[in-house]
Amino acid sequence: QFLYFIELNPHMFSRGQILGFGTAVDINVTFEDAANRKRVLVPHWHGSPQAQQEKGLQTLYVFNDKEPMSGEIIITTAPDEVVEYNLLKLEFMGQMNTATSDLRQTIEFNQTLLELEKAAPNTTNQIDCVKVVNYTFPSLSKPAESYNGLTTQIRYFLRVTIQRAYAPEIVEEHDIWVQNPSPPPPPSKGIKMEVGLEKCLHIEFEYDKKSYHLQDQVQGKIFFLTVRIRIKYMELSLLKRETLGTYFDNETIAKFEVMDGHPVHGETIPVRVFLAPFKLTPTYTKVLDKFSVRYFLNLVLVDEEDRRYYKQQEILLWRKATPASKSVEPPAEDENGGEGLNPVASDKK
Amino acid sequence: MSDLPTLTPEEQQEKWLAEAQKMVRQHAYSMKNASHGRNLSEVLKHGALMLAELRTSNLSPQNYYELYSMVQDEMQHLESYFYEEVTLHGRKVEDLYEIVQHAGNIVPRLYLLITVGSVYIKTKEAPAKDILKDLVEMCKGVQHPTRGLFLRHYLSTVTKNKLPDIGNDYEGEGGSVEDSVDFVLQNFKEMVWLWVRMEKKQIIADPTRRDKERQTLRQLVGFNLTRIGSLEISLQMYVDVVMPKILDVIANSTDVIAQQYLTEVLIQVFPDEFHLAKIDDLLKMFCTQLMPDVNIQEILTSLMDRLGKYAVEVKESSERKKKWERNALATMFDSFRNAISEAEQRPNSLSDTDYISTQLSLLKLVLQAYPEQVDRVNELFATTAKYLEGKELNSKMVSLVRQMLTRPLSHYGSMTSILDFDDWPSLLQLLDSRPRREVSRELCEAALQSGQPVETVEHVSKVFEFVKPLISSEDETLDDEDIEEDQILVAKMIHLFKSDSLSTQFKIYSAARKQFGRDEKRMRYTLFPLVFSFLRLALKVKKAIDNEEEVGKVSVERILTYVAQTLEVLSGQDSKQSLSTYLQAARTADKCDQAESCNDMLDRAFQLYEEDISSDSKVQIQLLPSMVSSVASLRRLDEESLEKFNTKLCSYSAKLLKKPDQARAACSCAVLFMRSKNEEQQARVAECLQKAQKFISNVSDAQATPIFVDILNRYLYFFAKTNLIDIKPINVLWKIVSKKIVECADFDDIPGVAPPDVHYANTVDYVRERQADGDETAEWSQIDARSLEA
Repeated sequence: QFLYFIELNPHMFSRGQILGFGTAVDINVTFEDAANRKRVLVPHWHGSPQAQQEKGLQTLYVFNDKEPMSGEIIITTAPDEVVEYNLLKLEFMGQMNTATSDLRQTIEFNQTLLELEKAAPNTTNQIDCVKVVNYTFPSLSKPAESYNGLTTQIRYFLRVTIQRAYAPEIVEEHDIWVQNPSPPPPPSKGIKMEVGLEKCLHIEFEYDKKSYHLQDQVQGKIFFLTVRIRIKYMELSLLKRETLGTYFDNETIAKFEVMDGHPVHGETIPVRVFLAPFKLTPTYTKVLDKFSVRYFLNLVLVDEEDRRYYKQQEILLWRKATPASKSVEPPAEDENGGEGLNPVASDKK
Repeated sequence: MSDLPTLTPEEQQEKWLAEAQKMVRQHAYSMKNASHGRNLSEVLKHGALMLAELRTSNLSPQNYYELYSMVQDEMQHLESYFYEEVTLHGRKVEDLYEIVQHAGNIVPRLYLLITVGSVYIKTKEAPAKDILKDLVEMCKGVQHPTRGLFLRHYLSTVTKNKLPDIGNDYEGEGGSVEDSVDFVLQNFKEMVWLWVRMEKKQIIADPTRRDKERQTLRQLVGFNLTRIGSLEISLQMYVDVVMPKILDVIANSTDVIAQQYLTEVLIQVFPDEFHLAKIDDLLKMFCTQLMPDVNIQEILTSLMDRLGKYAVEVKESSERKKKWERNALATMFDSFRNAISEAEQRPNSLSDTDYISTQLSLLKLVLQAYPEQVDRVNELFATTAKYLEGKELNSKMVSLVRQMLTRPLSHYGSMTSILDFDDWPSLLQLLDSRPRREVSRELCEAALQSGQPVETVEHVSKVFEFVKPLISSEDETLDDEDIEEDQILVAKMIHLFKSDSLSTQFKIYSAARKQFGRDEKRMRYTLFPLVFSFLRLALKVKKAIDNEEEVGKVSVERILTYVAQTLEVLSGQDSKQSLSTYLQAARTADKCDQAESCNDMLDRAFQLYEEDISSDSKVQIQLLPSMVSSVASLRRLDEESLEKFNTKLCSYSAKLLKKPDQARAACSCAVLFMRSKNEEQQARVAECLQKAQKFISNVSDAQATPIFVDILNRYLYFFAKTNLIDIKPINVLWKIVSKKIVECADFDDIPGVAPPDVHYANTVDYVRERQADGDETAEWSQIDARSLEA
């Protein structure tokens, strides 16, 4: 049954490395319901050895807050090698790493220890070829979602430690990804606003909602009440603002052209933006009392002299619970963003 | 591009176009490759890159159109790829519909969206109307005129066969024809708006170039109306929805080029009965809501032309139209007339030329729709004449007026119908003399062609009014040749003046006599034929009286008096012709038992001969034989008068200049005495012939021989017909002639006349035949057979 499992799900194994001084041990962690569990494809953490080496993506299993976690630890030694140990322990870690220009910090907000096997005093246990140990965490607190931002990372992982008497510990970390769907926010009125520059531009814009889930679409309208400037185009950009204490960082997630050319007054331009292709997270407010991530829709009008007129409006993003299904959903936070469609190119000829 | 200052704008355009086309080709190639491998994300990527070429602002509309056509072709591949993905490979079309909207740039995004939308409608996964509505709404994102126009054109092209329509696949859940109409109208409205904005925004600074480029784009806009026109729209719907909306769009466009073109398309695209149903509203809109510079005349004209043709069709078809339609057809004239007068009230909307054009079209309409309503036609002539009074006519206007004047001719195919238009001449009067003359000529020619008689005095006098330019000297610049041409034409007209009633006929001729007698230069062309017509009439009257028929207030005497008076006038113009006509009149008078009148006519003829042509021997030679034969043919003259004329003729013949002429004349005079009862007179037959012989006795053989043969023949004639001739002089003459024929072989060759030797041979044959037949009437055998030997 075990071998069968390996063949079916090659991804369920972490890319184990042979570590140590002549000690070859491969540690894998499996999850009980791996076959049905949602996965995401995310970049490696900054500074992690994999990120430096591969620059690629990793596939991680997704867990929710409070969700129990169980599975097997599979330790394989190199052929004809026997590893002796005193203690085999498993820790579930929730970490927040922050890095501003002058300060780096790591806060561990969850550390749950599970001693899996402990040798009797003055004896050692042995691993000969393969050892499989079951583990179960009844309920784990995962208050914040996994997050990999510019200033802040929130990381969850399982750390397997093999303590040996006369040799260094063998430690291996296995990441998981946490997403916490939230209940739908109460229906809101939507955003409606009039802005303008006196006598040259006066518009009214309207977005259908204040809160959007991550697969949602923003529907809206822009009314041009007065247009005396020669507009070249109009775009809607999606801004992300990460705040850590007093420090904050803005990032433009996407630019989306919503109008080409110069409208006359009285014109109404429809807006429809699908959020799915963008790399978004829910809005986070004071996560662990430290940091926030907020999103803004920025309506930008560019005139023929390339002057920009804009108005930002915050929107709230939330994660909608995906109905449990056997099918594996496509990665939600996909680096490529969308199905091969090119991002906005505003350098018109 | 600043490193290439040497390129002209055109070269620069070509370069840009070539570059863009190259990119399109490349991406299209990659896109198609990816579609073979069913790699959706690559297909979309290259599709979007290809479409991104349409984001350019550099190309002129013409070149943009080329680029667009190229892309449009490639998009068909994409559409069929999408369709296969959905139908064969189970991809959800709604997912595709979302995915393509992820594209960041609006122009490629919307092209892709429309393409998937088209597949969406085809698969019927969602109601067509919803998708159409979404597409047409989303297209608002492109506000750039050129790019927007082409995008929307793409929308209407791609959805062309997918609009819900009565009886087609997409009707029902997909929507109704009303939805389709809404969709097309919405797209139309937006396109007009974009198109108009090209003007307003002045994207191109040079106004003439801008107008030209806008003209090239107009088909894109008009295409929408064609689409609506091809839908199964009920009349009710047209009247309630379509027409008001279209008119609204047109009126609101406040742009001359747009209004001009769109009204034109509107008129062409929809069926005639639709126009008819709301003709008043339509015209009202044309005349009150269009911009002042719009050429209303063109619009009205094309509508009138259409409805005119339609009226003809309706008349020809057996199908019975609904009552409202018949009413509308009957009243459309008033509608147009009112519209024109309304348009005329507006400043600058109708120039004088335009006004006449509308009148011309209206005239055509009336002729086609109500050819029997003479009043309306006449009204048009009257109003036009009134309108133009005192105005300077340019050449265009002259040509239009001419068309108005001659249009009924070609329409009715005869002149008489025109004679009912009392105001026709007043319109004609407005033309300059030259075109006026030409119109009159056309009128005459048409009349002659139709051959339809003019039967009443009133009509005849109208004809004279209508062809006045031909019978009076209005135009001093005409040369004699022109006048002659005109008069020949008019003279031919006399033959159309026919009435069954002799008295009416007389009145008609008298009326004509009055008209023709006005101008001295012209009268000789027309009055002579008229005199002949009078003479014919006299014979008819005589015949009628003999048959004891009622002839009314006409008598032979009156006619002849009239003829005499006319000829009196004419003799001052053309004595030769007058003389001949006098002779003719004399003969007619003779036939009508009017001896006195006959005598008078002959007197006048002889007087003319003596007074006016005594100096011209050539004319004398021509006239003398006809005088002789005329006198010889008379039956009613008394012996005394006859003798007087005979004597005169003999003396005329003797007075001719040359001997051969004298001989011939004397010869012909012989006949004058043939029928006389008086022996003394009878003897003059032989006398004349002898005189003739004598005249040529000293003339050279070459000239004399033919005359000798003539004289011989005369002898034989009288020998055969009368007993006035002895056989002796014949035999004598025969000998002379046969000798002369033999001696002189070289004769003057006169064209059309047989040489004397042939004449002689024929004579010999004749006599021999008589001798052989044993003809009893004369003693042919007495002719010396020996003299026939030669």
